[in-house]
Amino acid sequence: MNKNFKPEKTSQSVAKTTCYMCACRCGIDVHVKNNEVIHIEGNRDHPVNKGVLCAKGSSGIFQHKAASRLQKPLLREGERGEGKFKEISWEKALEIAVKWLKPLRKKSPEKLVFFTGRDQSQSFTGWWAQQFGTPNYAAHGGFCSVNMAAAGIYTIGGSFWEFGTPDWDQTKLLVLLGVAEDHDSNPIKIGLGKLKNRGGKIVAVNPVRTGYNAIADQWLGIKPGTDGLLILSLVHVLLQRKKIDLEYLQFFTNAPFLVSVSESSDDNGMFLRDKDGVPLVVDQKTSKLKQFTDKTVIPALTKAHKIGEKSYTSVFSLMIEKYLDEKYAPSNVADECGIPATTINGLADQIADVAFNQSISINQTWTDFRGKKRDRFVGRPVSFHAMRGISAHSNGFQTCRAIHILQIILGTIDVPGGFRYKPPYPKPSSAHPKPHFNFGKDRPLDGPHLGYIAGPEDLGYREDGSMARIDKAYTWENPMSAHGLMHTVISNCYNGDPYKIDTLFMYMANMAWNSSMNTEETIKKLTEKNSDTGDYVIPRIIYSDSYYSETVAYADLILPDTTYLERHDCISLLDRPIGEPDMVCDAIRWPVVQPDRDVRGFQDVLLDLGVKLQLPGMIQENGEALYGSYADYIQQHERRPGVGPLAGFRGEDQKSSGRGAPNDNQIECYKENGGFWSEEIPLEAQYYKPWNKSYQQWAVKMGLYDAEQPFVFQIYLEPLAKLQKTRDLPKHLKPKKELEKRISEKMDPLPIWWSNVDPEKAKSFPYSAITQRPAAMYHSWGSQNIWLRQIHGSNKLFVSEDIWAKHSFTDGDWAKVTSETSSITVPVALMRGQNKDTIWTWNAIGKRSGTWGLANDVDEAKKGFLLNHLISDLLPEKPDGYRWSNSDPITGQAAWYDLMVRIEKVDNKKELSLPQFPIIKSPIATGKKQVK
Amino acid sequence: MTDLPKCENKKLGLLIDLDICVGCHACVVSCKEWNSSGDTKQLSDVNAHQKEPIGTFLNHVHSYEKENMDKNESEPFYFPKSCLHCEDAPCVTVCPTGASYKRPEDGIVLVNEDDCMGCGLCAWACPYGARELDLLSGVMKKCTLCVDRIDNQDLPEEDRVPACVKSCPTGARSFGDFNDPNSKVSKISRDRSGVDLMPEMKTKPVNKYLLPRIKSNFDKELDRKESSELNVSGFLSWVDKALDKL
Amino acid sequence: MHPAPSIILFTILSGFGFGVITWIGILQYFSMVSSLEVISFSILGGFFAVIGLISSTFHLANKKNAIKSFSQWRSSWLSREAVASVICLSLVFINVSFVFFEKYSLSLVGITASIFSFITVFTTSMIYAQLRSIPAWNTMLTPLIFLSASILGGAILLKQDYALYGLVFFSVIQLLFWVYSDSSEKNMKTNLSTALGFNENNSIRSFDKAHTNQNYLLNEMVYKVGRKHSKRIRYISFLFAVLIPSGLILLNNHDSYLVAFIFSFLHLLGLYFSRWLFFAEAVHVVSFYYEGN
Repeated sequence: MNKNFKPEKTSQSVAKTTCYMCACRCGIDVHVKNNEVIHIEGNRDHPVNKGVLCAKGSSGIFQHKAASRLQKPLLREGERGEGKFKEISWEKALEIAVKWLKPLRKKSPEKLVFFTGRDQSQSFTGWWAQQFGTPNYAAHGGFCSVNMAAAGIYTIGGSFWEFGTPDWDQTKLLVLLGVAEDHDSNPIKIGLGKLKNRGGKIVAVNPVRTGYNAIADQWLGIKPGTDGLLILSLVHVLLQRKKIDLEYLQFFTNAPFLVSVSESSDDNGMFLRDKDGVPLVVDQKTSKLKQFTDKTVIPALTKAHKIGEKSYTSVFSLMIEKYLDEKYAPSNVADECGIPATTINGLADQIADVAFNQSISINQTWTDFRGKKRDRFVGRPVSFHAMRGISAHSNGFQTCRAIHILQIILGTIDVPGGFRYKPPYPKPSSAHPKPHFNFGKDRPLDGPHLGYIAGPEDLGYREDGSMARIDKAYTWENPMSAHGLMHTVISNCYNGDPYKIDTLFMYMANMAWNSSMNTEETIKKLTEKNSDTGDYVIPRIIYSDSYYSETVAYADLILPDTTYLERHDCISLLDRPIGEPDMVCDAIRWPVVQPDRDVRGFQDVLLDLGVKLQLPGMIQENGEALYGSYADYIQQHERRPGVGPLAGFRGEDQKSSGRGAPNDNQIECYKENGGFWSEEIPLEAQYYKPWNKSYQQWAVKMGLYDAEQPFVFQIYLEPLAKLQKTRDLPKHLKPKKELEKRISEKMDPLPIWWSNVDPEKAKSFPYSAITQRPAAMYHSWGSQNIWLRQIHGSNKLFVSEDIWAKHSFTDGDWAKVTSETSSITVPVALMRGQNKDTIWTWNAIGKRSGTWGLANDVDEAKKGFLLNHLISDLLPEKPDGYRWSNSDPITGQAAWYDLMVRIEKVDNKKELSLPQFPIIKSPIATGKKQVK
Repeated sequence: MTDLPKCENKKLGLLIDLDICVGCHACVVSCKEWNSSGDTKQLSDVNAHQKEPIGTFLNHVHSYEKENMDKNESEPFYFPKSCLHCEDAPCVTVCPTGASYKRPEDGIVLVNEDDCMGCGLCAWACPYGARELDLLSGVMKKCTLCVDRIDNQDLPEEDRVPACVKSCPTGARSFGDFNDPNSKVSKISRDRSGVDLMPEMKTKPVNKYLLPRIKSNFDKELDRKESSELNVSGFLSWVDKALDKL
Repeated sequence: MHPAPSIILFTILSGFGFGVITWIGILQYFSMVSSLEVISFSILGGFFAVIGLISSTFHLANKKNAIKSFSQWRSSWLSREAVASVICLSLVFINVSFVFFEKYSLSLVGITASIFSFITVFTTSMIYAQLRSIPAWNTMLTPLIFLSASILGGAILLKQDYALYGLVFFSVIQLLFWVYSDSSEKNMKTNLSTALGFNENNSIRSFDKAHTNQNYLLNEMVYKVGRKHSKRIRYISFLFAVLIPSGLILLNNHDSYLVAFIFSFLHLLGLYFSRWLFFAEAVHVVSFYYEGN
């Protein structure tokens, strides 16, 4: 810096757009000079991040200028996995794609398998796949966090993640469960800072005490996979102390619903409903039956009912019976969870104290859906947030349901100080579509692929009893798989099970590396050939991405995507929204610079393909393109009348919100507004949203639904009860015999907990092995970034003090970690602040030689490692020869964190992590050595 | 002259709150980014895509864990470290060329790169590791408290703070005048007893750190009446009665 | 501290060169040497001093600004060293020129050169001794060891009868220095707790790195040498720097400068090891951030 330094203007222009590194979608200011990005910082006016920006977003320049960027469409020349490609024109590339896809569309659209990874445009890609007509579409939620989403939607019509948030300004006690740096990172960090400075308390439940868990006021170092037991124990204690919100349970949940408990009755396990199908409750005063929506009803919680021989018990009574059981007492769960009973009791006491003795209220009249007027929003200021640590277990769905039950009995959902929904949520499962599977020649699918089933009648079986989808979603092995099962796709395509397919088309998902279990096996399946024909078993693979990842080499045709600063996108209410509890928001991305290479935005390419394939919805009557580009689609497309991807600046006056005619100047309006649109929710509609008439009316006005959708929380999940009763099902829907026991045990309509650990194997594999996302990187996208890779250039396996001492590890040692599936050799490090029976590492740092624009001998490849190699997508063979999927039995969520291992010290003179994979050649050059 | 200036109007510096830093590295990268972008491309990276990358960073975040002897628990915490703009900066007086200097008007310690010969003595003198030699330009680099932001009239006023302060998501970094007893940083530092790093080095750091607060202990159960072991029917009848009252 | 060969050679060779200059000026003043000796040893001393100074510039990353290092003599020991060495060498030049051309012995100039030579070595040592960030150096033993090494080197070459006293003195200082160095590591007031702002001694350790590869701070200032290894090098250093020269001097009958030069060389070899340890064993307090307790 010169002594006489005079600060200068930083750039010619500031473009406001949206970051892309994670599911936060922060607003960023991009300074551009001569079509070059010269500086990126946070947008102060943006509702999500208010000017802050994390390490990932701040390093955006080198994400955008990454050496690993693909330059031109590629056609594979060598073998899959070799990395030998030739560059082709876009014209040629699309010609090839059409040549492959057109015949499929005509004869057997299900043979196109189209799955997307980390994109944020599922609303569009799903619609495209629907128009193509294949049932085989989903995004990555199945291996990500479907447990969280499904449990939440079914129970409370919302979820953690970016669908809801703790009330950062008013909560007094926040409980974090299984949260590492994850969705939705910056708002959580902003909130945590605010909360601590206000004097609020944070309790963190996580096997590892890093990140948010480090700043918590109390940390519970729980054993992985046992959170459900802890939660139900807290429920048990609260019931014992009589610290539950009876009024909330009465009026806002299905606690008063009557469940048929007569074994022989044909409505056994179902709710008592009147002839219109409306569930009935007993009135506390009159003891007579009334509709639960009745304006005058005061629902009883404990009164049973009998109709002839049929007995009905309230959900509430069933819940009490279940959770007052001694097995949930803290002293009986302490060992399993690794948390002392006094801590559990103490935590329950704290929660109860804050919820009931420190309640708050906001004076505001509001009317509930029954027409009852109230004069305040009562707030019980305990909030919860949960993430992947809960989700990525095979008991994750029930565990997440348990968390919601805990929130419900505390009366703390969508109240001041509690968990609050972000628009367009709450949206009960009934307001979501059902899944659709009806495919046929030369026509679109009969509806959106993914949705929420109400019972076995909605499962994905064809009339002949075969499974409709390649990923076997919505079948008895995983009936509520609301996000599909991307992690089974490659296996099933390879096995031709349930049927053979032709083209596998993937977008932005590193399936040949860190997004698959048992990477070596996955790679084999992508590269194996039929012995008789010499063709690949999976005939054709099309892959689209921006960067040269480990998966690119395994595809046949590569469609290179732009970077996030070169594209249009919409962060839409129809997709994965942003927003605040008091505000509805959406946002855009737009090209702040033009690409300097021959790449095209993937969504533009899809539209182009759609026109060439003459898909309905993408063409006009004369067969010409309906939309000129993805930007055009964003502005013009109407999913429902007046409702399009972006909710702001609609209508001829360009001022309508939510509903309005398409505006072909809409994107410009967003640009002028800072890249986003937002509108406040009126105060009388801000709380108690599922039952708040003002909110329901506002939501209809805003186009979030077409009719008011008030609902009550589903403590007892009737669809699960329906799934449990498999007796009277038609033949094509009946489950296999091997599944019957599991269905009857695990699909309990009230949350339960089971252990993921096989006690026989616990001796051979005594430790839990998990990963966490590092704050400065996200999935595999960090290592190509020349700044971020200096922070995490390789990873170590962190072990507890107990394990460290037991195996006499010292600094610099290596260890062999073995699971039932395989073993890896990795460097170890000591961390004391973690559960004593757990080992862990940072996620996705290990890379493969030759990829990501890095030199072949980088630490990322030689010392970095993945735990994926230890995990198999199928559990070991059972005595009957059957291999269960390594996933949640209800949603199919990949159970990454169920992994159990043993560890031993090894000599590793070469200091190479194992397994090592052969170098992949790269069609793009290694990045520069010196960067100034 | 690299003598320390005699009087200062302001003592600008940072207040770092270790109690809410979650170790996200936003400050590390946004600092690197501000100082590597636009017209001031200052910080280089060598072996950027190769083995053993080395780049110049002005701010680092370390990860530590502290033993809590009472609870037999380990308490991890994160530690961001950048130049403390010391009152008695040893890096200023050791500099032979006069490149290293402390601004009299606000106390910010800077390097005049036109004069720096890259001897590294200032880095040796700094106990905190605040200075790094940039391998490609051959001169010493350090935190400048973003003088090119705080004095920059082209930025809106609210953005005239160091890049790290703007980007910190938890608000663990604050910027201000420690010579003004009413400034935010002075007040908070007083209220929460902000500390100096290595006071025995007698550098009189201006940046202050707020140590992690004591973690609470929930193992003490709150006072409550002895609740009898409720059985299901007892509980249900309590609920029934309670609902009658409501 | 990373023991950079260029810096070690700089201090050894320049120390030796200035030591020779110091002695020759004194001997000239007391007319104990011939004009030829004045000229040759001034040049020899000057030569080693300059080689040393040039060696030090290899450590500079931006050499074009080296000329500016003369400007801050009011506050910077390094600047003072630059100024003092130039004054000293100028005086030597003047002295030698007069003796050579004018055949006139400017013994006042000579002795002044000696004084400035002594000052130069002192300023060199103060560059290191002033640093509180390296507690092992922050002692008067540092200038003592530099000065005694410099004087001793010159004496072995030019005045062997005094050299024995020098060897004894140097041994004492060297041993005291090693004792001080070992104890300062044990008794340092600074540790990871104070480095992080805690005032009591807490049990703190680093569990994850700030960056997974090396950086300038680690390369320059964090260096580990094993206890056994360092002990071995101390023995070797003492052997060559003190014991062998002492023995040789006691047994020496030859009154030859060549022989003396060989003795000096052996002494300098030992001194190299000592100086290497001076750097390698010195703990810079920034190490705490990287190593933990």
